[in-house]
Amino acid sequence: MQIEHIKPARSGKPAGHLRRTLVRDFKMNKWKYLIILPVIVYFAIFAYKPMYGVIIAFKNYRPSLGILDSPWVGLLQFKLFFRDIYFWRLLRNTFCISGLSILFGFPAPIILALLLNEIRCSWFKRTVQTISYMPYFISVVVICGLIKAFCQTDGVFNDLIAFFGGERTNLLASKQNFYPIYVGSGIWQSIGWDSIIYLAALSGIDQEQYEAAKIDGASRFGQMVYVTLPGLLPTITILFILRMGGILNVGYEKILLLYQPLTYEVADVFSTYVYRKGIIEANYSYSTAVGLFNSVVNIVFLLLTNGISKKVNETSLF
Amino acid sequence: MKNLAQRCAIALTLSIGITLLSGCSQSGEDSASSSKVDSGSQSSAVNSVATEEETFAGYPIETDETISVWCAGQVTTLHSSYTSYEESPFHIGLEEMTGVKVDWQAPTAGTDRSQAFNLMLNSDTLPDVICFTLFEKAPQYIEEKIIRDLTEEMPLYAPNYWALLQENEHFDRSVKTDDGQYYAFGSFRESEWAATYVGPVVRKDWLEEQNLSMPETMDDWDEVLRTFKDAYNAQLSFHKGRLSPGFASGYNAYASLLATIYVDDNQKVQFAMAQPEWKEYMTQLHQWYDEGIIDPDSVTLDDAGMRTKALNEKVGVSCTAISQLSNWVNDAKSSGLDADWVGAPYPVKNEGDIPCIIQGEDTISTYAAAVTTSCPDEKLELVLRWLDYGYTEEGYMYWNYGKEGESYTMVDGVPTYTELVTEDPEGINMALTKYVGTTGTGLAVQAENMVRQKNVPVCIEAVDTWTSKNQLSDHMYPSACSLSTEESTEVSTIYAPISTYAEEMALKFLTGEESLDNFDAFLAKLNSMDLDRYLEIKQESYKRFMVR
Repeated sequence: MQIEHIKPARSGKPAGHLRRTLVRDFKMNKWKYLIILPVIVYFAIFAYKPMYGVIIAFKNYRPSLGILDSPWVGLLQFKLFFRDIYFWRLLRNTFCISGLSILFGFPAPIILALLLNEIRCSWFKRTVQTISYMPYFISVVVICGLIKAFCQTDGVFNDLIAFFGGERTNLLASKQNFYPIYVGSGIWQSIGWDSIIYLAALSGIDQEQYEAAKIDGASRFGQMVYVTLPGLLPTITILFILRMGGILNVGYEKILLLYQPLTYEVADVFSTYVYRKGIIEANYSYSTAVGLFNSVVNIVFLLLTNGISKKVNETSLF
Repeated sequence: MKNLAQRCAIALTLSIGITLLSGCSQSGEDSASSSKVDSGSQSSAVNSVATEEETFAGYPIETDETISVWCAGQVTTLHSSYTSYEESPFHIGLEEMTGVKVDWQAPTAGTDRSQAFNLMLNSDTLPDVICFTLFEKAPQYIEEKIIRDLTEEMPLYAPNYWALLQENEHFDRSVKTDDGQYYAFGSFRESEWAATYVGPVVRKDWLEEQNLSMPETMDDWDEVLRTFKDAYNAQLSFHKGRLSPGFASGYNAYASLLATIYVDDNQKVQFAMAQPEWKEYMTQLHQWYDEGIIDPDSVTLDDAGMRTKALNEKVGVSCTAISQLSNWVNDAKSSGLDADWVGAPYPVKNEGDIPCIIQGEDTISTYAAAVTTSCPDEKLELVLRWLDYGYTEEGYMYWNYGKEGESYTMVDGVPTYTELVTEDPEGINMALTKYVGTTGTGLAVQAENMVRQKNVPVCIEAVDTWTSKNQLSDHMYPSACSLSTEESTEVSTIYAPISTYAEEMALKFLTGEESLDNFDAFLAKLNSMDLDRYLEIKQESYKRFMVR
């Protein structure tokens, strides 16, 4: 102990220097440090401390033994997970559902925001906005109840299909319809809410740029393409990177409510499979391993998108 | 800290256990030997009562101690008009009757029960009594010193419960481990009648209009369905979870669309969907589906959707639960329809046969109460006496009917609910949860009479019809079979893919997306998924259960 104490003092020039700098900085900015303290404490307690629990992914966790005393099993949980005969199907479905949601669901609120931005009549604009974000507040259970009723052979969608001379079928029972129904209802539910942030970004664009563009002879559409969109680009990029960071997080409650064995082939994802396995309660280690796998894939995608974006348009998270 | 406490507890338990062993070996042998002799059971009961009377003065017990009970079940679910157990008549009454104050603990409403249970197991001190689905993991819990092995104490301090176990082999088997350690107080049903609540239903008024008699064989059902389709454009609609086992008995099959195991005539555990009978049954279902006799919406229907279909007169035949049946009947009445829904007997292959299987649960509920190692030895007797109360004659009446003169009176020797219960504005089912402890799972034997009184006549008749020709337990896989740690890990790994695949294929066979010509390929795939190993584990577990 003593030796350790002496050591930095003897070879202490850089260390001592650093300490002095730190102390000075601390004195100078003590209020700022005080302000950030609760945030640091929050993350330390609620985000970093529980992280050690992740080790149960490598253990055979038994509630009666506790996290530290449970026996180590190495990669067993991961092996069980990767060797499951449905692993590839689940992975494919997760990427499909998530990919399609991003492909169609991501641009939708941007388009809505752009369209709303072009409306000059303010009460109409506000009404459309309010109505479009209302579905966001309806519980997913109710939404799925509605979807199920609409998709039945005697439901609204089938009434429409029959009106145009089609044949009545149970829409939710066929594999081809699952993605359109899932993604479409997702867009319908969240388009209004998600567009709010873009509308906020739009209001930050300098009006003088529009005037300049007008003088240069830009049409309404030209203004949108050359002024509005570039103005939105940083917001779009950041949101896109964040979205990619959650690529494996699909809304499994909704899938659980909408799928059934006939559509397992396209709709079954990791979270629903693990749920059916009844393993969430019984085997914490296994579900932690699945969760860890999800997080790793997510972070890889986040870093990848972030890196590409940094190179291409110089906007990035970090 | 926890470790130290645990070790102390273990040491204590051990030392007390040894003293008990040496002190009680005499009486232990006595009860063991007398229980083996059937005719001697009565005299032994008298004996034990005689010895009990010296030490136990009966209920209410005079004590100041409080026992804590954690339970995720009916017992701790308060009626919505009460905010605490001190307001709930059932809980107040139970305290008066037993003389023991209880600190009831329950998971917060809306939380996942299993998760709450596991969290509770993690805490440093456990409640004295825990009540949850314990059977499958009980040996593990005993080994890990979470719950107590009560083999020694149960006959001494819970004589009434012990006597009940001596009389009923099935109950007895269920509440001990494969090694014969008694640990649980079960939640029992008096009869198989009360364990049955799902079955085929049919519009009786339409049967009469078309001059058809109540269908028995699959040919009869075929005729009924076709007639209904032609006459009323009505189909066979169902919630696929309720079609279990559905019409399977008509082909001597044991499952419809849910992965099911059963015990065959040779005591072998079988996977219902791997049998040729099931293929035959599915062929019929597919044909019905193809001809538009089965409603294609059935694949996605839930109870609410079914209810709407029934109200819109789009269904003539279905398979449903009595809770739903009473809804349909009420709907029809309030909207002025003539719909007369009745329960229909489970179909049989040849006229006069007995249906091979009907829906039903085990007569023991999966919920059971166990005493934890946190309960100190001094308190053990009190806790066991309190648990024993539900199995006394007086306790049976209280748990099932509440207080005499208040919630029930004796009419011609039969306990009958008073208007306080029957005329409650919320209906008898809700009212009973205020005064009675066995509507779901209780720490007592659930009386059949209670179940009969709380249901409307059409439901009672339906259950009578469904159960009239079958001994439920013949082919049912018992719910109290237990697995070792290794076995349960293996089962959970093997079974998820099997059930996913089987249920997926079942629906594909039904809709015709997959041809039944591929049935052999289906079997081969199941076998490649280690179905044999799964059945082997289940078979072993069943064998151990049967020799308990």
